[in-house]
Amino acid sequence: MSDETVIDQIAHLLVSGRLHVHAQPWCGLPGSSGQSASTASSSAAASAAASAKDAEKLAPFPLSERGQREPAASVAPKPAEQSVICRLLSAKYTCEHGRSPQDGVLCVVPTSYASIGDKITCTSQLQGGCGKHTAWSIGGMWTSTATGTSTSFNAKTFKPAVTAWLRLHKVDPQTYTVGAEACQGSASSVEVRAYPPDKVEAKLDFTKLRKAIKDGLAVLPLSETDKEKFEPDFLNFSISCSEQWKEDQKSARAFCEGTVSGGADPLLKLEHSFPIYPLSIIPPGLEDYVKAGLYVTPSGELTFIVSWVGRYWSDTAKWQHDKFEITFSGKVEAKLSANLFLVSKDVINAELAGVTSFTGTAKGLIDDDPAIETELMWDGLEAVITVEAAWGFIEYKKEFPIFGERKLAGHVFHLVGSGDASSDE
Amino acid sequence: MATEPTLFVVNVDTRGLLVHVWVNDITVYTNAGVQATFAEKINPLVVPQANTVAVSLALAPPAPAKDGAPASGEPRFRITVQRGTRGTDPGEAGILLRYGWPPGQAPLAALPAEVFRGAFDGGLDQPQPGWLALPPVQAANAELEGFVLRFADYLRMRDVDRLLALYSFKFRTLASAFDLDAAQMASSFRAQLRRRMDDPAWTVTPVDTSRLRYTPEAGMRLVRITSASGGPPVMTRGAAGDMPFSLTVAREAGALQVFR
Repeated sequence: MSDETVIDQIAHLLVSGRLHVHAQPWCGLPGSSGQSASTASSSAAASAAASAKDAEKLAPFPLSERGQREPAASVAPKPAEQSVICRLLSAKYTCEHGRSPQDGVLCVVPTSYASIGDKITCTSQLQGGCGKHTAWSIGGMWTSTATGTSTSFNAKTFKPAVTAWLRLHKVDPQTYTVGAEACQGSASSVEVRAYPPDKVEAKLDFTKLRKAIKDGLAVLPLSETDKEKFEPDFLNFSISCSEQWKEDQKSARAFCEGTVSGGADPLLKLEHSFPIYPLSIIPPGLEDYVKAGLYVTPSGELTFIVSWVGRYWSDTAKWQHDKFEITFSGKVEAKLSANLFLVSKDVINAELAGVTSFTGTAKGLIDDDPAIETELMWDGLEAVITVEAAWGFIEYKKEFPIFGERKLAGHVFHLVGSGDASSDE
Repeated sequence: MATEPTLFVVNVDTRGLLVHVWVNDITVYTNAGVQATFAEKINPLVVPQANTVAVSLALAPPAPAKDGAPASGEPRFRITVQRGTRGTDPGEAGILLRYGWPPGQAPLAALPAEVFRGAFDGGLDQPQPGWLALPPVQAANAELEGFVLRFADYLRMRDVDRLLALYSFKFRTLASAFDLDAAQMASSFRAQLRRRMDDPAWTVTPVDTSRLRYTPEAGMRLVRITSASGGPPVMTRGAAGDMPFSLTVAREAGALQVFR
């Protein structure tokens, strides 16, 4: 058995607590100062006896009655630099919130920019001790080293330049690489990704949707002046949006949480009567009787409500949709009527059968690029008018189309990233 | 400058219902379920004081599906009676009577049932209308059938004079109600008919007397004649479109006459 092997075994017993040694200055063990390197446990008498027995077996020279080494004239003390080699048994990294890496990656989100970052605590378990290890290397924003069984550093991140609307989920994290090594063995390096703590909030007005609805109502046979009267009926509505990086408490990952909520109930409410326009749509034979006094009455409500919560995982670059509820419902009905106080005095009665509906629908596009697809639709309006004219002696019954069924161009509103919604205004 | 006459107007807005509306027990409007608005000047029917308005409703059969989707919209019925002067919309201030079928109510019975009977005051300082003094019609079906056939024949023969003779009571009633000149009305009606009859495509739809329906109204003073479907009993066709002739008749001076 070589001296080196014996020292290794003694070191092992010391580390494992099975050997209690009052080191002497000549011993050369690191940290020895003539005091107990390890305090004996009163409850471990049997263990101590066994340790003493082990030590006796291992000792190259006899132990005194007190268990202390007696210098032997025949054995020269070993030089310190040759007697200790440490071995890295493990290295552990923990973030400020108690999370550890998985598959060599730990994603963190500092509490705020005001803090000094997310404190990463690095601890190691060594076998033996050379006094120069564990050697830690930390690279990333800067490169630094540290020595000791534990160390820590602050995983900082800086405010990203988020120039596009709601693109916080696309920012690159500040990345750190941490490694640990000893005389023997090294730990696999770990990547720490620090994401910004910002919460980006804004309101989207979906002006395109408002414009689409206004354009849709423009097909009604009304004068331009009357159409402008719709505008005050568009209630103000806004959609609140936010993005914020968060740590996943169940893993080492982090995600960017996106939320969209808001709308208006009702978005539009109408109950007005307007003269039909232009008069040229009234067919010949009737125009003498009802060129005045025919009305279009748009009435009804539209509701638009959206509520979406999603998580963007940077490692998969995909959105996970936790909640996606959209309500775009209701309809605006437009019916025709005659005002007998205003039509020709020759008209006794008038019946108008003609009604059309303007409906809005929406669905969520659950994809990597979450969006809302809206569709606006008019079913056609064909007037069937029956007039008893000439004081009720003559009945006219006419059918005339005012406009046919039409599907208005659909709109897709991207909830995050593309900027469609934000550039709406 | 002549003063514009007072007008009484009934307005109906309905959807998805079988509708029958009477004013003083005289039919002014029916609907078989079509969504429609209707308005009529009812001056000839209005009496100086209390006037009754009755409404019967029933749930209409479901409308045919459109593009596979069922017709939407819950049943709706609203009626108002307004008073005002021609040329000016009296608006809310002119409403004498109002009724609306409560939205969201349970479906109605299959057969029309009277759901409303109300009254409004004519507030008129004038004699009773002529139809109130009429005797009961007391006509056998054969006489009524003969009247309809005769009416259709006059149209077919383009015999305007005889046709106008069947309308003389109506001329007088309307002239009184709207403060008009009966002779001028007859002249206008003649011109209208002539224009229609000059159409080479002018035809009169044959009348199937076996399918005519007769309904007494206004305390038997009137008989409403309809086709089996409840529509006008006489119909003409031409290039300008269909021209239906509704017939509610009265016995005036011993002979059947068109009342409305």
